[in-house]
Amino acid sequence: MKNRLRILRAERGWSQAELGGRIGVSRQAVNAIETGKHDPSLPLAFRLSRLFGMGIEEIFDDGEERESWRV
Amino acid sequence: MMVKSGRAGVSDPASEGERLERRRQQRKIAILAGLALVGGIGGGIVGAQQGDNLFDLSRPWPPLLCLILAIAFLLAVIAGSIAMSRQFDEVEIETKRKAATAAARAFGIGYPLWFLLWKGGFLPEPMHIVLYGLFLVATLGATAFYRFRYTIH
Repeated sequence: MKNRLRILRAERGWSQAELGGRIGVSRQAVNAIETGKHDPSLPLAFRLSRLFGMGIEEIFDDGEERESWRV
Repeated sequence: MMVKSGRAGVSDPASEGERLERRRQQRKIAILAGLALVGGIGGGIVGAQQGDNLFDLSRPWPPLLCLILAIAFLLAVIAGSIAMSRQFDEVEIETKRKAATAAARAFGIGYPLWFLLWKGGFLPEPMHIVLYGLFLVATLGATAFYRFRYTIH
């Protein structure tokens, strides 16, 4: 899954280890997510969302077209 | 203050994450060192007492020694697994799961093949210690493969 993690991390001047420590995962895990080799679990995606102060869909892109919710 | 590189100073607030990650790595190393110590002591005792027939599978070892070693191994594996699982993140858990699956497949495929080739007279009878070795090698190989895959940029 594509994501903006590397950009968001670089904007804050954080290393992969730094980001990993902040969300409770290893540097390897951050690298795996950044390179799209691992899709994070929902709890981890929420931790990232809270850390960067933005919605999950603003960080991750599943490549699907967005559709409005129907009531 | 934001840091611009991956080598943030300890006093820098931005290095808090790196400090936590370093501590997690240190805890994992400590657990592995503890397990290695138990294995080293067990191996040392066996080597000192049974050095002459260490690889002779037909000769038995003292029952009490085997019982003590079996209990020590079981306790170390259970305690070590619980302690390590608390340090793993989801990528490491995924890696372990894939490695265990690969090892199970290696065993599940390897043993019947060997059995059939033995029955056909092509190979000697399946040896449990070689099958166990195959399981370990498959586990380590798959772990290394997935770790390498996740680590490469």
